[in-house]
Amino acid sequence: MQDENHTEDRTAGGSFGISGLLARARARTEQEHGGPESASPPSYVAAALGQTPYVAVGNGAIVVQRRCTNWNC
Amino acid sequence: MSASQGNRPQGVDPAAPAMLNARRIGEEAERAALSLSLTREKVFESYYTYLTVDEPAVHLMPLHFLPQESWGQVGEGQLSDLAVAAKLEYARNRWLDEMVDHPGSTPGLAHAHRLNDALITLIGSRYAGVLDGAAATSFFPVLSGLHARHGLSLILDGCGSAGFTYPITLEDYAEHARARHGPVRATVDAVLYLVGATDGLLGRARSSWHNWALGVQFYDDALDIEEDFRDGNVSWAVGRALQYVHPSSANLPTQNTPDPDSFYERALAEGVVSEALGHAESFFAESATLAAPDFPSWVAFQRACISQAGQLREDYEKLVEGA
Repeated sequence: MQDENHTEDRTAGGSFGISGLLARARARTEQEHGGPESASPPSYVAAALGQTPYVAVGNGAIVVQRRCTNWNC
Repeated sequence: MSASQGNRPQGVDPAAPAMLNARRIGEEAERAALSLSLTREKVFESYYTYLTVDEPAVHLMPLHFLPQESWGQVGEGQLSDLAVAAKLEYARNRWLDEMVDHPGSTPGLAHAHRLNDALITLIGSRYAGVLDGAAATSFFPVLSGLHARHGLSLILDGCGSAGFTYPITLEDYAEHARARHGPVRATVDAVLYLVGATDGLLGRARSSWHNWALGVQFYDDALDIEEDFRDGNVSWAVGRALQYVHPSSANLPTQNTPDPDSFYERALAEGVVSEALGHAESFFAESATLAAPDFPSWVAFQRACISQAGQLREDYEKLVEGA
C-alpha cells in the first residue's frame, strides 16, 4: 500500500522530489491514530490512549478497560 | 470483572489499597451527565460526544496521584468520585475548545450557558462530596483560579492569530497550554488536599501533571500539524514550520502561504515534526522526574509515553532520511 502511494506520488511529482515522503508519513500518522490492529504491541500509553482493553500496573493497582471489547462486554 | 481486593487481576500488587476501573468511571460520568435536565438539547450532544471517549489517563488520575504513603487513607468511592469529576471536567474542557475552534457551532447561547452552569455544579458537587474542612477550604479557590485562567486562554484562542505575537515561543505556547488544560488538573489537587499532602509534594504533582499534559499537547501537535495548518490553528509546530517557509517575516504570514502538501513536506523535511516530538519526550521525562518516587504508576506511564513518542519520532526521521 505504501509502495503504491509512493509510486503515484513520484509520478505526480513533488516540490522537493520527496513526494513519496508524504504518503509514507501520512500512513505512519494513520497507524499512530489507528488503534490495536496497527499499533505496536500494547503498551501502557496505548492503554492510556484507549487502545488496550486491560493493563495492570503493579504498584498502582490499575485496571484499564476499553468499552465494548470482548473482554468485558 | 469485579474490582475486589481478593480477586485482583494478574500484575496488580495485592498490597495496593484501592482500585479504579476506567470503564466504570466513564460509565458513571455518562450517567451523571445524563441526569441533567438538558439532555434533549442539541448543545448536550456535542458535550456528550467528548464524554463517551475513553480516556483512561484521566479516569485513573486520582489513583496515579494518591501518594504511596497515603494508601489506606482514601477509599475507592472517594477516588471514584474524584475520577468522575475529572472526566466531566475533561469533557467540558474539550467541548469549550470546540466552540472556540469552530465559531458558530454553538446551537444556542442560553442553552450553552445553562449546560455549562449545570456541569460546573455537577463537578463541584462531586468534589464537595469528597472534600470538607481544611481540604475544601484550600481546594475550591484553586479550582476557581484554574477556571479563570482557562477563561483567558479561551479568549486568546478565540482571537486566532491576533491573540499572540508571532512567532510564538516555546515558553509562551507552554504557558498558554497550561492555562488551557488547567481545570482538568483539579483532581490531582483534590486527592492531595484530601490526604493532607505537603505544599512541596502538591507542587511537584502539579508540575508533573502539567508536563505530561504538555507532552501530550506536543505529541498531538506533531500528529496534527497538517490538519492544524489547513484549519488555521497556529500550534507551536505550525508556527515553527512557517518560519522555514517565510524566515524573514515578523508577522504570521497571511499571504503566499504554501499549499498543505508543500507545507507538510517542509515540516517533515526540516525536522519540525521530529522537533515537536522531541519536546514531547522532554516534557514526559520531566514529568517522570518530578513524580518519582511518590507516584510510581504515573512514572511508569510517563516512561511508556516517552517510548511511544520516541518511536514515532524515529519512524518519521527514517522516512525523511530515506526520501
